Amino acid sequence: MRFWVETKNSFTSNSNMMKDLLRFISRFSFFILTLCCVVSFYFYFFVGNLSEEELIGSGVYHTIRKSKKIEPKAEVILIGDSIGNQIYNNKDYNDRIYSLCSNQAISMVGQYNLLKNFLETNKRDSLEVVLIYRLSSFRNDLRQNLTFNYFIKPFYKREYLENYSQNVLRQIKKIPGYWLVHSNTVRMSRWSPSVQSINNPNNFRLSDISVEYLIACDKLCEKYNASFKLVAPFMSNEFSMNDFGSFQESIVKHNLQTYFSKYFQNIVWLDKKYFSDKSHIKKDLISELLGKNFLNL
Amino acid sequence: MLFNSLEFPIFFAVVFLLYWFVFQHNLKLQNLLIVVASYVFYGWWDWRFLGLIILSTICDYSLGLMISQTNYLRRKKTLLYVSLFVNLGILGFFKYFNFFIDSFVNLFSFGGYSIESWTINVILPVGISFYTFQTLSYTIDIYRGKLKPTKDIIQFMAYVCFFPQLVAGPIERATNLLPQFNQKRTFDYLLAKDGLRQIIWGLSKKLLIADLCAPVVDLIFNNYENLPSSTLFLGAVFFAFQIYGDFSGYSDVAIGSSKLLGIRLMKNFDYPYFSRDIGEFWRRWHISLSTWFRDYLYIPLGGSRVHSNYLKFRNVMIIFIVSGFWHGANWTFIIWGVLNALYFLPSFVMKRNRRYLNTVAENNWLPSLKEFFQIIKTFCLICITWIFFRAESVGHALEYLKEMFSPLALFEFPNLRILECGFYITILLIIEWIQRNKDHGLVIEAIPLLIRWLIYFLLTYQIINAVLGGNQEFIYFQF
Repeated sequence: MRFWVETKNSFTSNSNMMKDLLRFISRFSFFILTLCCVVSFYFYFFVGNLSEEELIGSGVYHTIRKSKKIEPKAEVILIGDSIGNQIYNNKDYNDRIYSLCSNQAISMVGQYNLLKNFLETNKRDSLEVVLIYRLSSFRNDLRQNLTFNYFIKPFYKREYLENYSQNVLRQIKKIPGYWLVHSNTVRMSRWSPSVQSINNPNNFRLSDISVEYLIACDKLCEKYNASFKLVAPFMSNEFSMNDFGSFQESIVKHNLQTYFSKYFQNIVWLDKKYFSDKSHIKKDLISELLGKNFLNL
Repeated sequence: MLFNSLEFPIFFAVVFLLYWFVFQHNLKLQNLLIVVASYVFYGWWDWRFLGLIILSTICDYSLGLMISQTNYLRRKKTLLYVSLFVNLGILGFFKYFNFFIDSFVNLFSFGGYSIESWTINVILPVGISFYTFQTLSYTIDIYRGKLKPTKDIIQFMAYVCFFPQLVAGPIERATNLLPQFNQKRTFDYLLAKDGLRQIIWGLSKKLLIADLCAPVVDLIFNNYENLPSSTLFLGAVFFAFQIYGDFSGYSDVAIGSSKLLGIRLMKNFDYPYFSRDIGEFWRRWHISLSTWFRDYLYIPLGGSRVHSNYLKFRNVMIIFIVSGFWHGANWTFIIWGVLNALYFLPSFVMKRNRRYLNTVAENNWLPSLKEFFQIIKTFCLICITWIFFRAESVGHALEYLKEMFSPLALFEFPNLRILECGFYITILLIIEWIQRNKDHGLVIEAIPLLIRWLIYFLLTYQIINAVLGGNQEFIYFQF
């Protein structure tokens, strides 16, 4: 009898506990589901689904569209970072000189993607490809705060995956929440994870990715009968006293002397008063200072 | 595994479901699940160091049994010394080996001698100071006759490696935690609900306060030579909130997660920045460590009951210096401890260190002017000690202090996220002030349901956003 009572009590307490457990889980699930709905709703209507022009790094999308156009007049194709874009703005240079310059944040891998888009769409007997790249842009190894908006959102897509080496994929996977880009709402939003990166303007180095894709760009040009050249844009003279020794050592180490043979001696040093930051020329001085064809292409 | 990682909620959900739905009827299996889950949790960081936990566990389990079985005091004492030797030996080797070698070499160089130094690359196992102290408390309590040893090794393993508090505390006593592994756990709806709220609160403190302050603090401490003194002052204040958000946030998540498994851990923080003097601060900051030192070091040394003032002074100095040294093998931590002791001693000598045992401004909305200034004074004194805690070396701390007290440039602030940090810190202070009598910041049953849920939504959304945006380790992992 006593045994029976104990069993009954234990059964009752167990069933009460189960009820409590299920109540807890159902309430918690309800909370999470509601949160997911509210967040999705918020993202869908207020944060995500923006047009490409409204996104951070909208210029990159413009350049991608431009890289896929058929341009029979184009003879000199420019790719490069934002300094290249200041000299040869990709909105203005659409003729013989065809600018696909965008930003360093897309890294050398992004430059390769743009070039490949263009060369595959515009097969010719001869073309001249010029990469305008500031010294500090070579350090990009896809570990920057800007990588998610400038590279992952526009370039981490099925159509580009075949272009990526294991090294690139490894770097992409180091960006927290990179996989969220598979959601179109996130891709078309201004949201990005924060990545701690060291942006020391005096840090000049060649990242492995830059080395790999600089060579890849050259090989791509060779495949499509195009010549490939690397040129230096202007730089502020506050960097002229910097020691580029370790950078030059990496050039030798990776056997890149052909690309950099005239790079350093062709850097145009300008007084720092012309710069709005450590890299970019003040907007009102661009046309006056740089002229129409600064690099005589 | 980090509490603020994406893996943790998935891991915890699996453990929770198995714990309550599959193993609920068998206490042994439930404990075994805790052990396995804890080893997975720890091994996620580096499985090779699981061996140390297992060694420490087996050693103290056997020694505990042997101490209780023998009637000879000398033999009991010897066994206790073996436990101390093994545990402190492991801790000493992994945490302090290089420090002692370096200090020894420096001492000789100072005397004009030159000896060749050799250090080895020792990786500090996460949480070693925490679980070592936990196992030590077990054997000491058995030796003192305060605790009967457990014969169930799984139970003991669960006590040593219980994953919510394994890597950064609270440092639990066997007298509190071990009996809970011996009792059948029933799911308590209210306790679980409170646990969930405490987890949200803890993660909010970590992700919205500590992680926000961290880059600003790093920038200020790394560039202190080029920044105005007002910014350096802010750097110290922000670090005070960074370390508080980081560590108390971890403790809240640990206590909250345990509540979900029906286990109650001790409180580790009790709104320390509202303390009116240093004595009160140390009763409210890292409570599990300060009470550990009180019970296993200070009282055995004689505590405050020794006759001479010298011995009283010595005991206080020892406890604070050892507490500093516990944090790490660096002179900065030792000076941090000495400074705290020097702050504490005047009130201790005048027997005024236990003046404030109640909550500040009890039954009042706001503190009195006197209380307000006492709080500010205590906070400022603590901020100075935090500079030593955060600095890379004693020289770095002294230089920082020198720059900080150089002629003030009061309104010169560089372009940092100072306003954002200030905003979140103010919100934290307001909430904590209102809740200062409660267990944690989210004990808010009195608020209407709709507003309550809105608060949960906002905080959870911010937490998810911060977790997806990348996470930083907890500061106390290094200790």
